Amino acid sequence: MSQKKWKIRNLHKFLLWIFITVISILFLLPVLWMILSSITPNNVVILYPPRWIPKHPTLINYIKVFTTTETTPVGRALINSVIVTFPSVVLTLLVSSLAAYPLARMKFKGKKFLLLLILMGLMIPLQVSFISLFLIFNAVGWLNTYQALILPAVISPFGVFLLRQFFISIPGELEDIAMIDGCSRFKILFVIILPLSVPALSSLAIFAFLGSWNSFLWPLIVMSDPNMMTVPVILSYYLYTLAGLREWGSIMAVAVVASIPTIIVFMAFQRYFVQGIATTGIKG
Amino acid sequence: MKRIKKTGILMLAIVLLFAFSTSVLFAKGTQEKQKAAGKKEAAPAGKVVVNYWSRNGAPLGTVMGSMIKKFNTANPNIKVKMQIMTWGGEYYSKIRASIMVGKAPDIFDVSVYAPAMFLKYVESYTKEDLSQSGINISDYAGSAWNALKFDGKYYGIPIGIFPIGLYYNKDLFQKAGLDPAKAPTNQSQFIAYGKKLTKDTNGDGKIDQWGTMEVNWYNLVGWIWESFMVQNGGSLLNKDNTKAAFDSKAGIEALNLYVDFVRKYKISPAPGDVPAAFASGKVGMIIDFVHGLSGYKGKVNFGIKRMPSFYSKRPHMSWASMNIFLSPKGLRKDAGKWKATMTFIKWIMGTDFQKSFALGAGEMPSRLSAFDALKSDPLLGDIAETIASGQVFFPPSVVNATEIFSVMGDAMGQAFAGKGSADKILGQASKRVDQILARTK
Amino acid sequence: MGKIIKGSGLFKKTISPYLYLLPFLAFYFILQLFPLVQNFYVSFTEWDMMSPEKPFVGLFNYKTLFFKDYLFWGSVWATLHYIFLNVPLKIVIGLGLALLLNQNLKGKTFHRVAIFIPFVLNTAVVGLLFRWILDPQFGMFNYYLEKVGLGPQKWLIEPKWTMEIVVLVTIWWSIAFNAIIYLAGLQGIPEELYDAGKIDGCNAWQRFLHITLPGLKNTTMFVVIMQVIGSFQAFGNIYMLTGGGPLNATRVLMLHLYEVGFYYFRMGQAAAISVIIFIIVLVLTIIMLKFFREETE
Repeated sequence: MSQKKWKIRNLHKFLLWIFITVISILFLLPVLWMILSSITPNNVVILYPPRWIPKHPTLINYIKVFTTTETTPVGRALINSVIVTFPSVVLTLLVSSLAAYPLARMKFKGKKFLLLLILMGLMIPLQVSFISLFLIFNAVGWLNTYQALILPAVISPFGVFLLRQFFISIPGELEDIAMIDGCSRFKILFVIILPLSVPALSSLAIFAFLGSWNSFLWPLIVMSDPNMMTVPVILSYYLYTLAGLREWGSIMAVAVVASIPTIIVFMAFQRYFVQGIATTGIKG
Repeated sequence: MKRIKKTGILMLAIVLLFAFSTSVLFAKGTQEKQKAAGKKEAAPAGKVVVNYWSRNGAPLGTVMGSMIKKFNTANPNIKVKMQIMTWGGEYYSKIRASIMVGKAPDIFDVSVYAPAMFLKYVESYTKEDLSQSGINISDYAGSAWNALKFDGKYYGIPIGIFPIGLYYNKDLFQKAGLDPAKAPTNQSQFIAYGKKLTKDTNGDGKIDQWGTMEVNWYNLVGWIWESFMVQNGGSLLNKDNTKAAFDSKAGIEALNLYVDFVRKYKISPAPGDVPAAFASGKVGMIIDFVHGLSGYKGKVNFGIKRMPSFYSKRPHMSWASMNIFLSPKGLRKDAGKWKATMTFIKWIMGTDFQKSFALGAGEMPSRLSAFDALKSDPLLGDIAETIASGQVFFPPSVVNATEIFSVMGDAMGQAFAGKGSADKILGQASKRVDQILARTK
Repeated sequence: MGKIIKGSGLFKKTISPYLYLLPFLAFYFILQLFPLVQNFYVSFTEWDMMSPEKPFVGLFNYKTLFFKDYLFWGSVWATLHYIFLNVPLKIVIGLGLALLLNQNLKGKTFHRVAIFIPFVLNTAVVGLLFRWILDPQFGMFNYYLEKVGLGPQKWLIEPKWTMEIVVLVTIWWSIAFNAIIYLAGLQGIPEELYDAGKIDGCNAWQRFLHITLPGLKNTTMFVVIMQVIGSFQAFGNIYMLTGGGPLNATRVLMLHLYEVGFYYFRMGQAAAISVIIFIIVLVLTIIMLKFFREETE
């Protein structure tokens, strides 16, 4: 490569770098504002003109959030959210992979129809089906239980459709070789297809995690026991306090607490979905 | 063989699923069973548990919670279990869903317009019921009970009143050369004060401090305008709540005045986040719910007075909501629970509770004897007198009240956005309200 | 029948696809299709969510919507407005960000995390955070606008530009969804294709047109379909940011449904709206599937 070409390429890369870095910072600003507000006392945070860095940073908002356990047991809610979210994610991945595999790789009668049927699931406004779901879970006596939050989250037409699209784009040769070697379909799915789909699975894991973690209306309707509330329900408590004045500092503190687990999970998974393909050895 | 085993396991899982699904589809009779089960779990260790759901967060809910603790210690055989649910429309979804499956709490609180929606599903009280529990209607602000009266019976217990009042910033008053002990009491004073308070404090040529401010789009449901209209002799609906009545001279004048704060007198900016504006000292006077006051304590030096008389036909009348207790229909049949619930209600309606709740949370009592203690309170005194003298009115309790509020909110928005004259806007809104009322019959 | 019993291999082939699908489908039928059917039924009844009976009223709810609900047609229009802004912007920006993130630039983890972080936030937080930032008198946004001389604007107070703001906030909040899917799709395009393209003397733009875009066909189909369906379902972001206002400028169908169902408690009418949304989306999806299939062939 000639010196000049190299320079142009580097300049090109540098401009792209500037561009994406500016975008990244713009994306982060509101989040930064949220975090800074959470360490600002409630009566300072509403002052105008707005101040980015508080003169006297404080943890008082966090202390308040964690100590008013009677109305809003944040600690308990965090535990509940974890209890609900992890099985939801694992089961979503399992059930969706099983369902997506034949839709992507096998020929059978009614495939098109089933695909459309599954897509139909995405078109139902959830808000109205909650009423029917509530009746179903009431009929089997599962109101106020964790499975009432887990089961609806596991059925993810989105996940099936996502995985199917990725399974289709995996080249078929590997599978054919395995087939000749006498591998069962089941084994092929778990030993060949799924490891190759790590990017898609990671994406789905993140979406399933967020969907479950942030879901608000359904937990609110199905849970009556304060000890079964999840984090978004607690969050909404702070948003809807009756008195006109919103305590932005406290709201932002809860928001930060509610977001930390999702940020951690994302950080953990984002590496996988980028490295996914590279580590499977299919690429040169 | 492995594969057959695998298939078998899968099939088994599916059979279980179908069992589950059929049990759902054929479980119509379970509702009654569940009701019975609900009763069983409610009586541990000889105590009667009264489940109470509240839509009120801080401060009302939290103050109530700590006072209920006292009730529970004073009544060892009753345990009132209070549960604060989220504020917002979702609370009512939850209440309705629980009524639908027969799992409603023994008491739930609702807003003033709600009882009409629940008539078929909640207990009603006759005068005798109430007096047996030691509640005499004449001891309370009469308008409160009247708002809950349908077909000669009372649907709900009016435990407290939330009027709107005039908040004013004493420091800003002083700086503007106004007497911080006196709030405006009529229309011309309000506007004059507003003009003095509207100014450019930092000298950059732009106004940054306002006389007053309107609540923003989201909460714009017309309570303030309605107060003006009622003071001017109008009303939202006709006497028997079957037709809109606000499309009147009183209503149109009131709406013009409301909008003129922004347009003609320029004492109010565009609608915005009023509480934040008041708390940060950017607005001199706001009209808002009295129980919001605890949020401002320690942030601004403020006072609260009754609504000024913007019109003189019914002076100082101000819109008010209520905190109402409802109990699901059938509670009466469970004698133990009913008795415990009524004991709790009697305590809530007693002078002691009513007085200390008002001082603690800012909700006005419904019991008249509680007002005497409040009249000397520097913050709540004037408001207490307003209620004691009957200068509050409640919105009509009709089945589709919330929908009517939305129509009125749209009308307010249109007026502030300048989409037509007041009479045109109210005329259109009144047709819409008539349509809504006609549908619910 | 005879064939299936004779060859167990054939039996497996015929039955096994369904077996894989069964765990999903069984729950799917109970938890999603059953509510769908029930909802369809409710749309022909009058129900306040409490009463044990649901009196049958025929097409009353639909007639009310079409002829007597002054907000319905406005919300159809708002939905279209939202979709025409949201879908193309999010697809183009999502792909653009994915391409940028896929470059081996310095600090790529930082970029990826920065763009993704808004997505993990709760909708309610996003809505309220931006309401506060955009507050006409006290918001930070107007503060800086004034500093650069663009004066205070009545954000979210006047109907003008409100939908655009809603879409911008939505992009900020959820563009990571498209970016991440496209990124995963880009990772799935074999590197050799690009190497081959370079050897053949293709420039970057040609490589993008002839290798990247075709390689992202499945991904794009997925993103487009999800985006269209998702836009019809958009609710939380708009609900928390504007509540449908000002003057119903952002009252999309889902918001109208929610208000009719869960504030006015006319469940029959809410169900009718959901049936209408469902049918529109179903027809659109079938058209999109057909379109993509023909494209591939």
